[in-house]
Amino acid sequence: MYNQRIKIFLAIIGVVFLVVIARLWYLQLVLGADYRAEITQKLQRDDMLPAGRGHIMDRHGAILACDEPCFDLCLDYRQLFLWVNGDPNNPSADPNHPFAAQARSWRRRQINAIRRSLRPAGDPASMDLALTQASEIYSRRERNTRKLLQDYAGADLDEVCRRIYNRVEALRGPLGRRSPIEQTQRHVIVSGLDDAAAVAVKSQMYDLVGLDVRPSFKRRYPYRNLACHIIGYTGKVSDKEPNAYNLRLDQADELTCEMINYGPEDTIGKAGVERLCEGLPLRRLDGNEQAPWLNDASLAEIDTHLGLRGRRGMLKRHRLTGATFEEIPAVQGQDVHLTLDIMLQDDLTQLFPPGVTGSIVVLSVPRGEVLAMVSVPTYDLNNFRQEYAQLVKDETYFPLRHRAVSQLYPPGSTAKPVVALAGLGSGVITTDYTRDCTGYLFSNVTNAWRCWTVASGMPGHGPLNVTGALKNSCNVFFYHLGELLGAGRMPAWFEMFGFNSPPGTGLPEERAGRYPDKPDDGACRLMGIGQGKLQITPLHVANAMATIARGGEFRSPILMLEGAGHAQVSQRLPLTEAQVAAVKRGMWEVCNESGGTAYKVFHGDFDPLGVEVCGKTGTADIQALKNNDGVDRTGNMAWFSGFAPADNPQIAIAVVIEYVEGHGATYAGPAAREAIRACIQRGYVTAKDQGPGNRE
Amino acid sequence: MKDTLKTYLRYTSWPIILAMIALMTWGIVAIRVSEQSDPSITGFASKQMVSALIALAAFVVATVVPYHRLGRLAYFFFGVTLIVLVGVLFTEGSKGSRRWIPLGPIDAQPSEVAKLAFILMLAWYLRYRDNYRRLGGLVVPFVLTVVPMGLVLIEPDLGTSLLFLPTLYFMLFMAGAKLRHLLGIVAVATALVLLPVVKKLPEGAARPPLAYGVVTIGPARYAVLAAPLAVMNGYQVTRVEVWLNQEKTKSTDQGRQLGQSKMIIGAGRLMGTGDWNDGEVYFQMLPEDHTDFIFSIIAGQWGFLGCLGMLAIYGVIFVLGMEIAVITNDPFGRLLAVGVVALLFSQLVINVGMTMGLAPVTGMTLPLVSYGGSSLVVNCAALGLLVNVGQRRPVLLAPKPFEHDREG
Repeated sequence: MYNQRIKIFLAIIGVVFLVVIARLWYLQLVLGADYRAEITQKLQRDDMLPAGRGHIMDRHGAILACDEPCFDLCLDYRQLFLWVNGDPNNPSADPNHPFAAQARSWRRRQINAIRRSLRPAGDPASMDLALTQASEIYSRRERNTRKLLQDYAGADLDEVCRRIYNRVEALRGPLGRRSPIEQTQRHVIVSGLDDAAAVAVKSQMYDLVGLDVRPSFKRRYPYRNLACHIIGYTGKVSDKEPNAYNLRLDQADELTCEMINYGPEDTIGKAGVERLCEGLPLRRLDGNEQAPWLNDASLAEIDTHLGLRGRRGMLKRHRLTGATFEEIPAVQGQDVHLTLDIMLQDDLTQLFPPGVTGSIVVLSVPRGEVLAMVSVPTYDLNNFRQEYAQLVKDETYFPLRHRAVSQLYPPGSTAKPVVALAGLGSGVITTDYTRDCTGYLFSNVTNAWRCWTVASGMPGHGPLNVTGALKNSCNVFFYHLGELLGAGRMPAWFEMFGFNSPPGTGLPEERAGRYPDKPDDGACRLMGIGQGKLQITPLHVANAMATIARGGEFRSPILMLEGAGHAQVSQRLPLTEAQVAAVKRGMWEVCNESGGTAYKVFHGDFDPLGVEVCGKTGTADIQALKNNDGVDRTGNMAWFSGFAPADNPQIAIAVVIEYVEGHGATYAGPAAREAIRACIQRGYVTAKDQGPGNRE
Repeated sequence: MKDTLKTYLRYTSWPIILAMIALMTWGIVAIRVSEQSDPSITGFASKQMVSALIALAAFVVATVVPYHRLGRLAYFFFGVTLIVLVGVLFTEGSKGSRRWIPLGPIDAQPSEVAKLAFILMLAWYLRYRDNYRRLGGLVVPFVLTVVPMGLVLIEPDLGTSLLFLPTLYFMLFMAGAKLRHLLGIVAVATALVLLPVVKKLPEGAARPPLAYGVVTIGPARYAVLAAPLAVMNGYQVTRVEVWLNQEKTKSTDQGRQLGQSKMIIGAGRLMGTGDWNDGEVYFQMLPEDHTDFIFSIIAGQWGFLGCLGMLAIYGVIFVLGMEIAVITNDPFGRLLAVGVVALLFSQLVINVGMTMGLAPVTGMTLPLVSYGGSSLVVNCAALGLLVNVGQRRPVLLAPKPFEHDREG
């Protein structure tokens, strides 16, 4: 019996050994490769390599926006996590958070590192003592780090940390990654430190924890406020933007996501060209439609579509030895070349005396390039962030508004050449058509379809053809023409001139013009003189002028020498040469024939321009702007639009001066003349073939 | 004298000694590996070497003194051990448990000594009896087991306390206790362990882990759970929970250790990690790798083949130990040999099982391998007793009574 039980005992040992061996076989030989891969992955440390943002340059290569070196204070996410998740005031703090164990383990490793430095090797007896000391040292360093960050970040430190926390945690999710790389990265808490501050922080590094001073870039705008609305600005991505632009894991592999998706503290273009040329991504601004090629696109493919932002790189290194496993270099952002001439922009901006607001747009006629696009008032892009609160509050002068593309104005009489062409092109009038202006359309009642001459106490214009009506800016003629065009033709022709859509440079601020689809007769009459329900931007007006100057060829204006925003729509309008010539003749007479509304603008006691200008003045009624700060803005919008030289148009121009007590010719005209003079000086208009009668 | 020594050396079981020394050496190398990788432990391998020398001395002493003399002192040893186990409860303790008695430069762990004293006492008690073949006769051995077990459990040292029951069972089994009694006790104990009890939950408390269910009666909520869960510490419940839900809990603080351990074992694959650097870096992510989780280091460093080798060495000790139990015809010697084998075997299984997720994590060293002087000295002394029994085999010309072969 005893020996039998010995056998049973040995059998039990044997069976248990078999179970253990089976388990070992399962863990080591069946799952071994997976476990090995998991370890290898944990041994690997990934560091993001930042990519500098591309430059924005004008047509001559002057740098309008560039990255300037500076330093960032970055905090390890695990330290940040411990702060935010351990904060009793944080309602979303969760001690059972899946990442908590890893963050605590990170802290343990920090303490152990301190401990090793404290303890002479081979003295295990002092281990517990060293642990206590190391923990104290760690707590002190943690406090120092927090204090230092508070010194630089101010009271927002908690908010900044919480924002980063929320964004990184948002990356974990059903469609996100289980352990996003961001959780082991250092995140920017304070950015834009200069050399002195960076050295000051570095000299304290020995007593800080989880903190890094990293070289970084700050966006600098050498021309400060010039073209500020066009250049735009950058900022940290908002909470919603990453969701809209980032690729999801079902759309691209994880590496691609890590390379191009926006992280919590990434910079993104917020306005103007900075936004237009941001580059990838990713999704259209309006909807959630994903550019289809981006799905499962390779990194190389993506690299060919980069914009200003570029693509970050990654350095995969051994955690311990630092040996590089793999380096994916960052790709610097593409430079953007604008069609703008910043010096011309400067000249034009200076035409606005202090307190005067408005906009000037200059287009090159042959290609439709934007040479200058001024919107006044401006602001200094370099101080934009500091001044933002004040800028956004100003509801009298709206300095943030890009007037040239996003302010809708009634174009006033500058619309008359367009209406004239609509009338001629659609056949409701011919170049010989004559209308007798008695001074009023129906009867001489104040403010009821009267011509502007009558309001000034003069008689009507008498019989006028379309050329004469333009020269005299006759309201009665164009009331009548508007009525003739009617709802069937007028909106269609406005559409042909591009008024129904944003002008087309691609700037995110652009707005489409506004006019009714089915205007009644009254509205048509008013729109015939550019009033009433017609509202368009200065760029629309300038482009209409360029279209006329090209003899009736519509081209959408472009802002880029190449790349995004370069695509141009061009279309031949159904106009004959004679019809365009009649309108051009009228616009020439406006400026160059005695009695033209802008004759005195170009013929007077000043240096002659040396080129003939075709133009049209405009004086648009507008509602007074009243707001709470007590400054009311009243008056008219003074317009001048045209092109030069008359016989060989090279530039088209639109000028609007806001809220003036007077006519387009008095205010906008001289500004336009000086703007054209600047264009001549900058070489965009070359005087040749000066016809007789040009000079006084 | 010379002849005595010759006989002594001839009947000494050298394979057991070789196996023991091999395991101790392997252990020191493994401790060195974990020490290399973890900055928080240094000098452990050299300390273990000193312990190994002391342990070898203890082994020699345990082989030289005739084991019957030790047997006569068994009750005395056991009594002293119990007193020390009570005494240790009044020490200051560290890391939340009171297991160590400071003895000059080293801390002794009385619970380790208690294992040996328990085997001696039980073998001495059972040697000439047969009353344990009746159910009533099992009461005294069980009481003698429960007393030291309880004291160790209070320290608390759950792992060591769990050793007493399997050792008792193996010894009773080998001494000839009726199988139906032993199995019956297991069945009753299992039923008691799983017995549902009702515990009132505090206001707003979450559902307790591993509960059978939660009942709401009127305003109060009651949890229905297995009896031990109602009295166990929170962390002990968590360990059981981690063990039962290994995949779900591997990223929690509690489940991490087991998860890391399994990962390191698995990463060993057939031949071990090979790349010292990788192992080094990763081993430091495993807490307690030089003591309770030394087997993970061994599996990670030397792979499946290394593990088979280590199990084979243990197998040599167990088989030869059982052979000694067969050859000797002294009842005390037989039970002592069985007790030593049962003790080592239980430790091995519980420790290896917990590192691989086959058993819940309890504090338990891998015998002869894990860092820890007390454990090493006591296990060596236990093997010394085993060899001791083997040396004093009966010199008989005729076959032993009732035995027809020596295969055992």
